[in-house]
Amino acid sequence: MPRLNKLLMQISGILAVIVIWELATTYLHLFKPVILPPPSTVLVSMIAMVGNGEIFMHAGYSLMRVLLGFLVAAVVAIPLGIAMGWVREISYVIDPIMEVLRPIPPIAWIGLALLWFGLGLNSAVFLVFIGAFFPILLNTVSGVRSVDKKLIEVAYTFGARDLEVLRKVVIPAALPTIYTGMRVGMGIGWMCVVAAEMVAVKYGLGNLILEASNFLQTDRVFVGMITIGILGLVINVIFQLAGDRVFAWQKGVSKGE
Amino acid sequence: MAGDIKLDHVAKEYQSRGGSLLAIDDVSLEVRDNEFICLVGPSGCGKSTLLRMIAGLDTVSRGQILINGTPVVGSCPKVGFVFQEYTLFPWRTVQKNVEFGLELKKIPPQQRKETADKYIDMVGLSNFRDSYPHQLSGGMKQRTAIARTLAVGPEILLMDEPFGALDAQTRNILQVQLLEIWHKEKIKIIFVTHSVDEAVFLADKVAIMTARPGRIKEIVDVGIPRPRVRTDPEVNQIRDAILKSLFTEVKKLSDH
Repeated sequence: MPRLNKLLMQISGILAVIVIWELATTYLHLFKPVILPPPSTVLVSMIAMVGNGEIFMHAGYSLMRVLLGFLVAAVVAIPLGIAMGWVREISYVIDPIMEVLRPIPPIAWIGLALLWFGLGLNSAVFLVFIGAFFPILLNTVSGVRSVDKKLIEVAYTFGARDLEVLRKVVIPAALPTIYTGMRVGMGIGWMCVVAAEMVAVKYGLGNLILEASNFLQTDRVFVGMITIGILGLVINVIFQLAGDRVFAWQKGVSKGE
Repeated sequence: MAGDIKLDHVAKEYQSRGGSLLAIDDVSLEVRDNEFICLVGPSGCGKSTLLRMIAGLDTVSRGQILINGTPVVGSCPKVGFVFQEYTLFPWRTVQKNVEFGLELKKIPPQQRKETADKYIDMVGLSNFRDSYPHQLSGGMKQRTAIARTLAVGPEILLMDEPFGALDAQTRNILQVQLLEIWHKEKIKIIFVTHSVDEAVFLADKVAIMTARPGRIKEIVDVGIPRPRVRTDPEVNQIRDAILKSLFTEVKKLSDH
């Protein structure tokens, strides 16, 4: 019963917003449709865009770009982070570079992205890469460094060599933390792809929003935003569920997040 | 005899800014045949450090440690080590934990499995092969750790208060099981413990260490046939003698 109550309350929050929004627009005419269209209009546009496949086309482009950028980021950041976490000297060299680059918001790289890669896919992928790279790198480094020293000692008592310790103890122990970095990186990558699509490429949900805005199609702006929100949520939930399955052994280990 | 251990005037000194701290001084000890030695001593006397030096996890400052006549340099699979803390790999099942050392020795999977099975059976965890460490009790974790260490066939087993974190009941059961295993496997065991009761129940010889710097104060031959009964007058007598000897050392600590 308390669970049902909680669910009802959660739904009622969203419902209340929609009802007030509909009242304020359709019945009280507090806002011009170009500023705030009624939710019913947004819904109609959404159904139309789902019906003719337009929304899937844009979402597909966005997802492809974010996935590419994310993969490149993971492929570069994970090995680099493992090296930095495992060998102090490497982190002494790389750390200062990262500390300078990290505070720069990913969006600030758009200028360079356009100059280096021009309009098109590569610019968007590059921006996602920048966004996803640092969370993955930092989590990998800290995951590798915080491996229980006792487990490493155990491996040495079995005669393990350094590389075997890395492969059989350090990396498996660090995986949940690395995975958390990937999840965060994916989230930031998703923000970056929308920004990139507003500037650097055709199609995609960011592009949809900006074009609709230029043509004063506020309902389509909302459809784009809602789609971005839903997809972001879905991606995060998928990551979480997959992680819970793969890292079930971590239950009761008082580490990680 | 394989796996003979000889500690020859071993000392351990820690350097710090304020000078040096002598943790262990002039320890000489020989372990032959399939002896079961327990090391007892006041806390901070360096008994764990001594064990870690034999395992090659810590370096010796002076003197030397010989195994089969060769000085110890780093770890070697001939010497197994069981830690006080729970040290199972949490991402591996019981089976895979026990296979860990065998993987390092590049033993083929089928043979690996058979050896692991044997030792899992030996510690009585056949029904928990596929469990993860977080699903096991403390006693089961330590039994798995013992199986993991035995699986690689060490000649010497070093145990650093392996039952220290367990409740009294579990502890007693594991002591009996350990003696059975020791008897079956024909290995040497050096076992560090806080508990004189445990030492007298398990050991052929109990080495009593002094307060820091740790030296061997005396070695008591227990010489009571097994299975021992914890409340036997003979057992009580030896326990009293060791406790008295230990008490003067513990007192030194509190007098400072």
